[in-house]
Amino acid sequence: MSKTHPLPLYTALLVLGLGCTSVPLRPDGTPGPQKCPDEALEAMRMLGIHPGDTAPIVIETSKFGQKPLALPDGLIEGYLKRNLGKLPAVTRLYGQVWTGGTAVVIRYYEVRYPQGGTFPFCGIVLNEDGGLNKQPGSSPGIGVIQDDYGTVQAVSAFP
Amino acid sequence: MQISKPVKKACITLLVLSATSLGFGCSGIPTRPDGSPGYQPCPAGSLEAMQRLGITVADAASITIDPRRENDFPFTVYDGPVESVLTQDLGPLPAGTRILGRAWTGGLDVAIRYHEARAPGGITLPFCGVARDAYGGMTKRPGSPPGLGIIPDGGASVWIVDAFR
Repeated sequence: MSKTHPLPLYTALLVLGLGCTSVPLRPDGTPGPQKCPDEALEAMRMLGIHPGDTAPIVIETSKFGQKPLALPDGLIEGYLKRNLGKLPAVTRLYGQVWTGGTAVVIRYYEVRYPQGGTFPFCGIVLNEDGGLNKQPGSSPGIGVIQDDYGTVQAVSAFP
Repeated sequence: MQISKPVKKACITLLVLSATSLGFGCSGIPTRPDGSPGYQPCPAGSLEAMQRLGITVADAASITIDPRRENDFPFTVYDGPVESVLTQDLGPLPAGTRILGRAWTGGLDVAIRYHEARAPGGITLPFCGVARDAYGGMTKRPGSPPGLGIIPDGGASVWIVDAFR
């Protein structure tokens, strides 16, 4: 019965979309610590995802293959290139980008199972090999990074 | 307090008009720092309508952005309404289906959001999809004048989404 609760999720996304995130920002504009909601922790448990698990991803589907990749602050849709727990490759990841720091920060808050529903989720993109460090050509609100490939890591709270 | 019928009618008309202009993104859509459009929900009923046809989020098909100019190289996208055509079946929607949308050229990439599909034979359904083209296929050539975006060619893909992000 209690598979997904689309209404609260859409509401949360709408709030995100209007730029009213409840995340407190640090002085450089990067997001501060943020709790992972209990529903997300529960959904991740159900999906066989443990905090610390990682998977390769495409960061922003709309900009697939761009190298370097210019990301403006705002919402993004990525996808898994390989499975993460029970989530198969191609699962959509919905999240947000902040470009104020020396490296771009990306957090994913929701996943969409192919042919299925959405689940709340908590994941970050790791700055492996400095791939998220901002490159020359970045400007206020736009972070230029290496490319559209990344590694998502499931987290129990946002650092 | 009594409200006369004509006044009521005018109010409803105004409401509908303002809702329509919002829905089509003339105003009310937040803009991202690069000038691309921000969050916008899918048209009402579009996800349900597509689901009834077996079309789900992340399904995709190739398109020609403007069939009247399909051999333009490079290809110019203009801000405003766009009528594209599927060049591949998308579930039960056959190649040749028209998809109606709107283009924004203010960002680094040209953004096209589709809100309606018109299948051959006159079947119309609300639709929620975006144009994408890998490896920078939607990336605007630097120096494109305001109001338009010059991209390599008029071929792309439409991808079903659950919201415009």
